[in-house]
Amino acid sequence: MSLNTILGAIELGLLFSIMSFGIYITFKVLDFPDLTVDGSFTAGAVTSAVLSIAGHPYLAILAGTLVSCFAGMVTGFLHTKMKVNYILAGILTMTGLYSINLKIAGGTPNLSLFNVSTIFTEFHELLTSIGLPSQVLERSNLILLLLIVIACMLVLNLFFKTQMGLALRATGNNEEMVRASSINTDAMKITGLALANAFVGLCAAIYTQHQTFYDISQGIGMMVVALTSIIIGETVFGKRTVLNSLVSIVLGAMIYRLLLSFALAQGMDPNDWKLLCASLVAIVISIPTIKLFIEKRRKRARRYGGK
Amino acid sequence: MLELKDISITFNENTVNEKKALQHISLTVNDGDFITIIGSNGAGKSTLLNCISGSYEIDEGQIILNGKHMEYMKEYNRAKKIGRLFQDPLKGTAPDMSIEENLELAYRRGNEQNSLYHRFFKIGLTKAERKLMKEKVSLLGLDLESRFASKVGLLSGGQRQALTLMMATINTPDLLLLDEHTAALDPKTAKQVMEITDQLIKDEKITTIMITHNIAQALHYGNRLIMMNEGKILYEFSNEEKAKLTIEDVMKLYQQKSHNDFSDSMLLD
Ligand SMILES: Nc1ncnc2c1ncn2[C@@H]1O[C@H](COP(=O)(O)OP(=O)(O)O)[C@@H](O)[C@H]1O
Ligand SMILES: [Mg+2]
Repeated sequence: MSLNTILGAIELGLLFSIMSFGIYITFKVLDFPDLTVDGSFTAGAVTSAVLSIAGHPYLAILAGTLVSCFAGMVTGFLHTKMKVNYILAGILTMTGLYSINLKIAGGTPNLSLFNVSTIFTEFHELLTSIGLPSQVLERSNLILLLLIVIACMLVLNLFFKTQMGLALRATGNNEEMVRASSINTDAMKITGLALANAFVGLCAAIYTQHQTFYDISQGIGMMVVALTSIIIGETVFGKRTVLNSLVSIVLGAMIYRLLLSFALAQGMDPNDWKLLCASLVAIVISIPTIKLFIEKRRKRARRYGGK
Repeated sequence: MLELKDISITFNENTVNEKKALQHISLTVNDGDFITIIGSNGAGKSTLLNCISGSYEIDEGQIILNGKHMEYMKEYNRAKKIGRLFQDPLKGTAPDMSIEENLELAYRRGNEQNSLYHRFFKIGLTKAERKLMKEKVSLLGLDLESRFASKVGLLSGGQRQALTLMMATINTPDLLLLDEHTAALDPKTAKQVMEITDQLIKDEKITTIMITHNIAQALHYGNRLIMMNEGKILYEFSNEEKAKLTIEDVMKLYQQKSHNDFSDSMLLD
């Protein structure tokens, strides 16, 4: 792999770690497998695309974030207040979003952001104007993403230490205890889903500007991608503290992209990649059960063996 | 003061599984009272506490805590005034969070300084607050204060139950509800946790209702004793009456009234 491929993979890894932060909040912190994300990713992307084309690159990012955030709230409302099963609540929101996304795009399934000003072009101009050398300018996208990801990490790490953050973590950890300590767990779940999907939307809004392209199918399978990279990150780099988890997530997302680039460079069919990821997630999640099974087998062998 | 006026609750009404779990219970708990409740399995003891705390909504009657009606108050709102412990020592704490984080969560609960600032921007405990927490926790005598950053999941059942007790009382609650909170611990730890509980209740003068299946415990602790059966209060003893009671008296009384054998569900030690 060339240096360019590696740096490109790292750049995408940084970008998608923003999404992983969101998935981390729902899947890991809240213990709420949220299926809204495939839809809310696309919602963030299309909102960003439309507003970028209209000439508002910053507003595009903000609006993309908020639209997804709202989608998360809808799922939270359906689950906590209307008592819809959480899987179904996510699927309902995701399905509804499909029509909304089409409407936002004005009925077309894809949009091009060619020659449109984005946060990346703006940042590049900024760096140019302060007269940085071309080797740096070449990497302006990478630098901007690095700054954004570091900012997200700092904010999240602090957030998880506030009352709200502690209550959110406790809700996923021991809901009954949280209710007994006078915290409204329904409100916590809705907040968590809103926050998680805000990160998903932020990632999608940036992604569209980065790719200078929007497509209605952009969100499909995104959740598994994020989950895979979280699992890689936590397995390799640990999850002792919140900060440790956040760093692991970023590194995991990078490794994921590097592995993908490597596999493609080796001539792997890109369509096989998803199967590989899904299998990996399934296997890692099954490990505790498999361990238990092996242990039982061993015990039985010890008891009846040797006869 | 807690007033229960004629409260009733029926589960699975109009089905074959209909269960009148509480039938017209009336009870006044004065400030500083420490009431112990005994009764066989299924007597409705846990249901009574669940109704007070808001886990269950009562069908009839009134629940008034310090002059405030609570029948329609949400569970998490009642929790501002009510501390609870359950039999399962794992229920009261968040295992993946540190001792300090668990305590912090409990400390801010019901603490009136619950402004937006405190909720979203206040990070961690101040030095003074941490010192206060450590002092309080050191009262437990379990050396938890030196392990403030450890995850609670690493603690033993007894340690977790003691920590839960600390969390439930760190802001002195108007009412403390204990549902067989030492029953799942080994005898030695159970005794230790019960002693700590009694000391805390005395020191802070916390109004308390405690369910126990250990008659000796029920006679030894508290200033009032209640005996329940089939959703009703069978007997009530004042402090003086309770002081004269023996385990045998309790068994006899119970058998007369309920035609039930007590010993299968009760511990006599
Ligand atoms: N949520 C519930 N749904 C249906 N029945 C219940 C429920 N909670 C308690 N009961 C029934 O009410 C009766 C009293 O239970 P409980 O209060 O737990 O008894 P105990 O005195 O042993 O604590 C039992 O018959 C129990 O099966
Ligand atoms: Mg019970």
